[in-house]
Amino acid sequence: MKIIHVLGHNAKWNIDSFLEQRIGDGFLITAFTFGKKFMSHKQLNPLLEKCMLDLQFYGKKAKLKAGKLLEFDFHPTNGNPFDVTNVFIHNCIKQAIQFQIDLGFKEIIIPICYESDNCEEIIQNITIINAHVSKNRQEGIKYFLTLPFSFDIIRDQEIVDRILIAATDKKIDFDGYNIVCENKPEQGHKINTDSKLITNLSTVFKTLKYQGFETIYSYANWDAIIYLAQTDIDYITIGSYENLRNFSIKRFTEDISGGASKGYYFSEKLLNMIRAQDIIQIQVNGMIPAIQNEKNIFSDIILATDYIWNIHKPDVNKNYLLSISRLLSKISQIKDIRQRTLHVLFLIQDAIICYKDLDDHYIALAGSESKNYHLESWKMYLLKTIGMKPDEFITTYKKLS
Amino acid sequence: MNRLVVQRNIFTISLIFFIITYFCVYKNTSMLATTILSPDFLKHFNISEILDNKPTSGQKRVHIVIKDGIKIALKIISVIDERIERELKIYEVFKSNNGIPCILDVQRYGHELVISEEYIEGQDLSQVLGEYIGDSEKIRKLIFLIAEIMEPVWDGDYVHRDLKPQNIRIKDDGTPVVIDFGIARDLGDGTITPIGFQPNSWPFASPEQLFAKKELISYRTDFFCLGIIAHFLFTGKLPFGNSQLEISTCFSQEQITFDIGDEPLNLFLNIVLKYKVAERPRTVENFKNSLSI
Repeated sequence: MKIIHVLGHNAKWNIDSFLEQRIGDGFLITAFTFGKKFMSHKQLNPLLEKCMLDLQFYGKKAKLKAGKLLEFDFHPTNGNPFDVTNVFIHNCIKQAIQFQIDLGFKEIIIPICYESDNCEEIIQNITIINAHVSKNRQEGIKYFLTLPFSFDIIRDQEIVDRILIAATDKKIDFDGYNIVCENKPEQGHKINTDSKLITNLSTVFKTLKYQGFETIYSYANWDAIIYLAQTDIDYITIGSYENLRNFSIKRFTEDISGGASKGYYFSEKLLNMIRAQDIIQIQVNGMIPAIQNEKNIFSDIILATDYIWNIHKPDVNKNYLLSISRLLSKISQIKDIRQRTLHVLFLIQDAIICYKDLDDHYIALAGSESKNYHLESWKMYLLKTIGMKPDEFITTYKKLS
Repeated sequence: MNRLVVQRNIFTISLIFFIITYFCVYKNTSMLATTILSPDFLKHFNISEILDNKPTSGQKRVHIVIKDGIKIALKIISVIDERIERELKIYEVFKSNNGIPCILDVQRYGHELVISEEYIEGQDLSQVLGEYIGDSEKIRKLIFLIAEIMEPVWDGDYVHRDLKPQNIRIKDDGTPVVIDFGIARDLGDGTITPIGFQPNSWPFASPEQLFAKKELISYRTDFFCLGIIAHFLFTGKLPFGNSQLEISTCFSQEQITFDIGDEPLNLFLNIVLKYKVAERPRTVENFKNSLSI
């Protein structure tokens, strides 16, 4: 498994962490943020051989004031809104492939437009673009087709099954798939615990890998942990900002800006983001060691009592990048999938106990997004996948931990 | 009085007709044949002998006859629709495939279509089941040979959709021939409304056929049916139940894992008999490899 930095807003922290702390294995450049400038970007230019490029066709013909998608002549956003036919889009996609090849990219991300519910359109795209790639394949280049799952589609098992049948057909010539999934977490949550979403997205990763394809999980949050617990994933992206860790189609169809935030602390022990405001009560109650990431210089700095929180500080961003990359790397190194799932279940159970410990020390997180809203769902889902009853797991956990 | 005379005349004519045809043509056939094939028909097609009459199936009658001095399967189709056109197209496209019968002649006769098809000496797989029970290697080799026959068909975007022991002829040398492409589907032809499966084929149907999810039908539907055949040949039992209801119920529940006491077949069945189409082998090569031959 390779850890890939999504380069978007303030990509500096990602590049810094790669160069200085050796976090990650490569980069995913986002067209929305960089436009064509990535080629002349001082820090990025020498690293281009480690880069993939997401040309982000998601919004199709949407004309955004923000973002730099219009810099690409072949981008669908440059099309006449009354003239955006399927043939036009397919030509845009073919040019997007050639654009990346001409720039020397060895891992081509084939951009596809987001479809909220049009299953036939998605299947047609897979077939048509596959035929083009089969005919024009170049040696030494890997082709990844983007599969953007809308929230409604990923929750519909029948549609997911149909897409997977098309994506794993014997004629498919792609090396792999770039999975993008709209999560739509509930208000006050950063990740979605919807069981249909988790089940179907797990099926997507497991089926594609089982059928011999490489997989990329783009715009992944730390929910990547539970998908990686069940199957190998070849590339998982990590992002310093929430909008890079949660795919939202609105970002490509409307001009939106992020809300104000003081920042979050990602705790490996809680498997959650803790709001800066909540850190204070944890400090006051002397429970910082319970949530503190081990061997993480950024964590040490930002958990100090005199630290002044700011989302734009490198420590706040790099703490997550280091923590999540360590967590994911360790999980991926366990080859036996059942053992890997059990390892993640142990992490989840540790986190549940840690939350209980915070409760016992009068730390009130219930009204905050720092609370535990996801661990029980994750635990039950993973137990089901390995056919282990909760009681049996607790016995095993007590015996081995 | 007149009516009585007419009736007597009809009887006499019929009797004479019967005696003549019996001694000239039907000396080796059953009485049933005399009522099906008229002398004109036999003369027109130069049929010298009727060897067997298969039970009528839908709008198709099959007779094993000697025509032009050659033993053939004569198929008489009463309703000529896109299904039969499709079947003929498949036979034409794959006429060089030794595992599929050759069509020697197609003619209209009255309102019916008469197809002269190569007769495959041997027996239906359903008639020789006993020879396969418990013999994993023999079964896996058979499935492998069927996959070899079907490979160009699948590559040509056709699906048989009715693979079952009755549609597999075993030649005297043990090699299989796949017959009856009557409900095969051309996946590239969007004008044809695909039907899930033959009503009497449910024991060997895949989940997508049983639940009539025609959009999920693909070459991997045939993979599944071959998995059922393999299970049936080895154990003598159907893998998912003995009634359509039992099988449907089974397909609606969690995926079954097979352990029939034979490692190579367990491996094959657990790879091929996946309810979800996308989880079955992706390529014919993968399918054949899963047989551990």
